[in-house]
Amino acid sequence: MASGADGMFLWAVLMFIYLESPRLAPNPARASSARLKAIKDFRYPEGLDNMYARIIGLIWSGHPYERELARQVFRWIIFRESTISAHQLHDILDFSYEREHGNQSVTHLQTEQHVSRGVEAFNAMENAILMACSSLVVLECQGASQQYSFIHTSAFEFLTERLEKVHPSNGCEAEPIRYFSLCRPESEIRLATDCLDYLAMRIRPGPLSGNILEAAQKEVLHENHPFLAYANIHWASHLSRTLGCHHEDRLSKENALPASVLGFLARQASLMSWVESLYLFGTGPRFFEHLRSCIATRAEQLSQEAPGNRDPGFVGELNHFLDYLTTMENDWGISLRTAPHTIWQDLTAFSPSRFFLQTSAMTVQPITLTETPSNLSSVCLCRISEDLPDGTLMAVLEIWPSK
Amino acid sequence: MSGRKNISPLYRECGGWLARYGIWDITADEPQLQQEYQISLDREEVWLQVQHFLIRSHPYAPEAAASTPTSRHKLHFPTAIRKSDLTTFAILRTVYTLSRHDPTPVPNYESHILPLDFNESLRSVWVSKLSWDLAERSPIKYTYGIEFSGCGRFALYDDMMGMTMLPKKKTISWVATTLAVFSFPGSDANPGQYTETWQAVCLIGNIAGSTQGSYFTEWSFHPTLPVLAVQGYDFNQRISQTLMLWNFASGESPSGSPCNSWNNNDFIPSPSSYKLI
Repeated sequence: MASGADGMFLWAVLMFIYLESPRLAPNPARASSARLKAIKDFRYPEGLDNMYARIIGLIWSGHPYERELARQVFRWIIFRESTISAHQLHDILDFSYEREHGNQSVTHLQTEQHVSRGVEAFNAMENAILMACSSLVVLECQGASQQYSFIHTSAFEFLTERLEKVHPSNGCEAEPIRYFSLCRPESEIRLATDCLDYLAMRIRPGPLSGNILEAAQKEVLHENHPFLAYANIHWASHLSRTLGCHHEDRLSKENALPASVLGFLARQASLMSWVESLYLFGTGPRFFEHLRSCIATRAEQLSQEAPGNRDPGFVGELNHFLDYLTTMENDWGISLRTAPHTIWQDLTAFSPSRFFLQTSAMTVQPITLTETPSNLSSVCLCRISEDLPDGTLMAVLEIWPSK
Repeated sequence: MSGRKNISPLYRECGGWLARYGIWDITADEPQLQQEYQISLDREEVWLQVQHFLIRSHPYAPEAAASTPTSRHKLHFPTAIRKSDLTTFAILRTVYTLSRHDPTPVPNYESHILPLDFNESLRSVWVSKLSWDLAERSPIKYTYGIEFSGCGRFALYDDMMGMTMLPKKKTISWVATTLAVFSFPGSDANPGQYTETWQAVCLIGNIAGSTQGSYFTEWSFHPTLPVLAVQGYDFNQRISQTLMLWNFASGESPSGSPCNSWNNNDFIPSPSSYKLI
């Protein structure tokens, strides 16, 4: 061990972790001989890269869902847009697994029973992650929260530096290495779709408080949906980085993105719940500008990569939705910032949109003057109104340009 | 819209504009139109407004002259309605008041142009012919507004004519370098009744920032007295003035009188703890 470590404490730590892994010796009766054989097979001294490759192989030897879990964890740690707490990571991993495997949670793999929320659930998920990642990932305390990170920056570099050289479609590298070599655009697609699907499927459509007349509580939302704060805004950032993959099998990955985006935009109630949460967290108007910027970034990248190529139709739909959000902010921003749940009340009566559910509690009929003379423009330049303090009369002033 | 010289063809488009003013009875479930007025707008007034708005760039309101997503251009077009009785409204710099002349009860209106030539700057805008030289001297787009006091007796004109730069404070939605108050004699009528006759609009008083960088950020009429509460800001000195009360009825006569500086004796200085409500 001393020879192999060659002065690197980290190598020694990783080696001990490797030798202690139950995957190295699934059969307890042969554990000692398996470990002894592994030690004899080592070629000393070996660098960290070889050790990491060895650990990757160990992860690969595990169950397929554990491989996928490890890959997802690596993907989130490497490509996250902002810090993700352990609770948030647990939440999105749990959702991803449920989405793939029906109504089962990740912790079911470990405990063979559904574990409710709380410390027990947290610990179960933590064990699942650390086991799946074979201790390449550790749970650290960062201030008041806990976060997952790689055991060392060299592990991060090992995985990321491989990106340019290896791809799952490249048959030269060993399969485990190819499996865990993460292509950035493909990873960003996965993260974007995870965020969008989380918003569309995880959050119950409707008023966040359950009552259109009641305001939701941020603390309750954080407790029940820890990942919501991240998904709310960062799906746009991931969306802006989904281009640039030059691998042969990129098309199958890229097709997942339009489905998620269009699927999200088609869920009227979910969209309204999402907008309510944006204003509840205080990010509404800023996010609209950010989304517009992300779409523009993506369009610029596309024009550089393939001049003349048009972006898929979901970008046009996103732009239409963004235009409506901008109008909504102009007309209702003050109300929504004060009481985000008012999105479920009069808003859609006065500002209808195909993206939002139309309220049936109120109908709005505009007051119009007599028919507009034919020599005038069909669109009024501006219109203002005032009513008497006693509310009996109302005056409307319109300015009509000539045709 | 590109290039200053391209706006000349717009003159043709400034004719034939129409203002429509309607008064509705909204006491019933179905609003009932009581009166409707159609007012042809003066082509020269519209053209002047178009020039004022497009002749200069506006660094902090690029969307004001930019194309909308439907490729339509926005145009600043001041309008206001007197809330106290709905019988008076303003379009650009013209004030219209509804009148009823006996014995023929035919609704009619009278119009008066606000005398916006009470200082040299405004005379150069409204009296002198617009020129590109003017645009060079004053890069800020000439925008103005008109609003009526709650009691209905006064109209307030505000503009940012004298500014060469705009504050970067995002909390300030509107600023002005000039405030002028006009009176409407005989406008004490009860709501719903029309005035028989009324005199021409008269300038009561006006104030302007004393330095290039000073301007007003908030103002509000007293409900009944001829007093305007004003908050000022000095861009160069980064001083945010506290509440000032301007007794505009004690000001000098209009037209040719020097503008009152906002720190003159007509103001009642308030303790620094007071803030504009």
